[in-house]
Amino acid sequence: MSFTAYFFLTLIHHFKGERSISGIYHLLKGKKSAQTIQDSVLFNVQPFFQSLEVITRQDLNKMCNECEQSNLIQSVGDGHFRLTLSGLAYMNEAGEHFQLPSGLAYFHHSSTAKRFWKRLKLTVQTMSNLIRDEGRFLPVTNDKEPLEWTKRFLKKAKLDRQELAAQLLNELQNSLQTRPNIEADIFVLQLSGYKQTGLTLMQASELLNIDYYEAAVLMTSCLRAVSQEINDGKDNYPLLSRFLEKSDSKGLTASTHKTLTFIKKGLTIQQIAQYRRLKESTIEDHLVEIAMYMEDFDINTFVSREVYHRVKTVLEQQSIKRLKPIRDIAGSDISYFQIRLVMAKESVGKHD
Amino acid sequence: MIDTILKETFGYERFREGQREVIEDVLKGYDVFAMLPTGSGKSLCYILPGYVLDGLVLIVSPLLSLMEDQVQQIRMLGEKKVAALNSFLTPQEKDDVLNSIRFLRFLFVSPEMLQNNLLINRLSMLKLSLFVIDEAHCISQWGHEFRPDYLKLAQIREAVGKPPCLALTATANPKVRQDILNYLDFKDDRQHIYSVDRKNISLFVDKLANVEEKIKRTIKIISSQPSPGIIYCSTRDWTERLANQIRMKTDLHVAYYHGGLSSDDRLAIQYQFLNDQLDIICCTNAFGMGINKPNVRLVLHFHYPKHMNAYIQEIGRAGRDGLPSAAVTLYTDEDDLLPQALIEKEYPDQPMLLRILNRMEATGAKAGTKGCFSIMMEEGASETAARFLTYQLTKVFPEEHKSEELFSKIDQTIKLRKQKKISELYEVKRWLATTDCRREAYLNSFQEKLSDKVPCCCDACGCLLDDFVKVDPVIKETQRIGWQVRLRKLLGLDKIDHE
Repeated sequence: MSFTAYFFLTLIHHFKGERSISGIYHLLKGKKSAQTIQDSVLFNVQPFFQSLEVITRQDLNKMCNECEQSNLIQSVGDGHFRLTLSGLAYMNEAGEHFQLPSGLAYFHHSSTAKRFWKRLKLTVQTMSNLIRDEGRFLPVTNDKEPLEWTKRFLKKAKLDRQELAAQLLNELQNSLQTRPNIEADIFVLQLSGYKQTGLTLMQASELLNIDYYEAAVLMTSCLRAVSQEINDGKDNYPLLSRFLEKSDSKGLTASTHKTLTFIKKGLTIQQIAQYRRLKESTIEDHLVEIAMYMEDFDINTFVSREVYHRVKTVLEQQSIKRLKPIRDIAGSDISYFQIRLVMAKESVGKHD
Repeated sequence: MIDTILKETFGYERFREGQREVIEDVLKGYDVFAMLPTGSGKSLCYILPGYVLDGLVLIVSPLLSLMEDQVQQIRMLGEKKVAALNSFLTPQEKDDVLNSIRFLRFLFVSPEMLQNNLLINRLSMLKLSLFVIDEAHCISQWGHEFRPDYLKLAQIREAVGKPPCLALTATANPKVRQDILNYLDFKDDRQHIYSVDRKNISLFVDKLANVEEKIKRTIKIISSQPSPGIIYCSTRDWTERLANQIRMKTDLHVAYYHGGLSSDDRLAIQYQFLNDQLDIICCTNAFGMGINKPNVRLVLHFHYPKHMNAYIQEIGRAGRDGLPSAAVTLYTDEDDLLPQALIEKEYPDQPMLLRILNRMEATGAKAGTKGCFSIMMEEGASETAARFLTYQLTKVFPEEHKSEELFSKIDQTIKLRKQKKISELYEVKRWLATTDCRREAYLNSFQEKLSDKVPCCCDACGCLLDDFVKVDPVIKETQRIGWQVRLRKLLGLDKIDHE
């Protein structure tokens, strides 16, 4: 029994045969499509969203085949699967050995956590070199955003190098202290510093003797939980809280970003669609994406408080998994677009 | 003066063979052709003049991965006025570079980017101090990795104000050299030719019965030979399989590297290797370009390369510190199948070519369009084959519209190209099978003569792999210490113990 199998079976269980293996794949990868985001809310699997970005389709299919051959899952056609009775028993038994890492629950930090990690890796490496008076070293990433950010961060810092490093160390220790040792180990093994290059996640999993995918999920958990910890106690983490800051509306696709600038100028959906020669439904998709990724995005223009409340009430009844029945109950005066917006908002706003 | 710059900017006490001669001629304003062996510090020949001459040094560099490394290398000198323009950049990033172009000291560009009029326009308004062609053998039809985009370089150089030109390569036989000079329109030029021979690298070839034997032999060699070492495989899959075998059967620190890893993982593995955290790296030929690690003791070819040029490049990553090092090639008869199949896949076969041309005529699809490209792929062409064909249709025979004519012309080109590649492959095979001195044989393939015999030459000359004494490894262990301790070490409160 492996953690990965447990993880996989749990997802099959949640989806109850209503979504295909592809749906699971997109969920784990964190595909930014309206469909995937919607599914994560409908099936109550938000913690899994973008929880295993390193998974390959090949491996997922392999896992699926193995489970099918061991009669743990059965096909209900067209790439859809359900747990068998023995699969259910197996999953429950496995649940006694494994549990889902607790940090996954802070899924609303998913993109923040990634940003945090890239900046942190680079800043730790830089500080580790600077305090030893080494100004020349090869940065651990070539990505522009973290490089620029780290430069600005160091420039703005008021402390001297030694103090800054000591403070960073202190805050990192405190935040990692809140996590299980295995998560902290995976986290720290990947950090680079003076004359020492961090391990890749694969290498860290080998050194710690755990499955690669398990390590990946633990890392996701650790990053999200640490982001949450820092966010909750900004006063305790004056340095690290800056690593969470947005560099304006990152994570949106370029096209969505354009739509956002028009919305900010006060244009309506129809006007934007006309101007950009796109379908209105495309613009609506953009808005759902924006609502998902920008916590401070106000959807009042599109959904009144009253409508929001009605949809939310229906959403909380877990049994409903499709847009149409939701609309049937909530009221036919409500558009699908409005329902999707509420779902997107709910998926960010829900804190545990 | 250049000695002062060498010391102050680069931290070196003296030049390596050839560098001073090339740099002095560059500074005098000559067009210079320089052939310096791999690992001899070619890039210094244009970086140093950048600090003497007034204006921008433009470097045309054919390989994207190499370009990144070159930029990084210059940044390591503390130089910020360096940038690269290539197709990997987003439009925004390209704009950023174009807008800052007049503040730069060094600009790397890919040959495709030089077809961009906006860039040429910007460049023509600046003062260029030097026009550098890296890997100049790509200009020649007879060179390896021939790049048609290189053929317009003389024209482009004219358009940007005809600055002095420096053409650099590690390997070029006399035929290739003449081609380069012609295409670049060199007159009154200076040539500096140094031997491709790397005297401190001993050469070994071992033929084995099958792949299992080959794995066993590999493990035996790396267990008894000095490290660090690089093992070249021909596929991604093999790098992973071999690394796993080595991990299971030895205590060595091993990692694999190939183009399928994420870019951050590739960087991490590369830095671990540079930083003496790995004994062995199993990799495809994606690894090693621009990597400057002085103490590589062993380069082992688990699969033999496609041509002698690649062989020279790859073994040239050993022994850059001048100390004795070994290059070992292992092969079995089975190894002959893959490279031939790969060459076949690079071109459309006759029926496929015919189908594609017919469909293009029937549908009126224009070469170079997306639609036309997908027709090619639908008819079963590999991506390389489709790119080749697109190039032939748009650049080589743009005036030819009759299908039959096109077919026979392109078919002829394909035949010639394949012939050339296969003959290069046979050259490698002949070299593997030779019982004469291997050094003499490889120098012959570059039309060079062996000048003086080295003491530990090759297996055919009686040199033994066992003569290389295993020394204590320099490898720094990543130990299983708790995260708290590791973190304190990184951020300074604890001493780092491997110093």
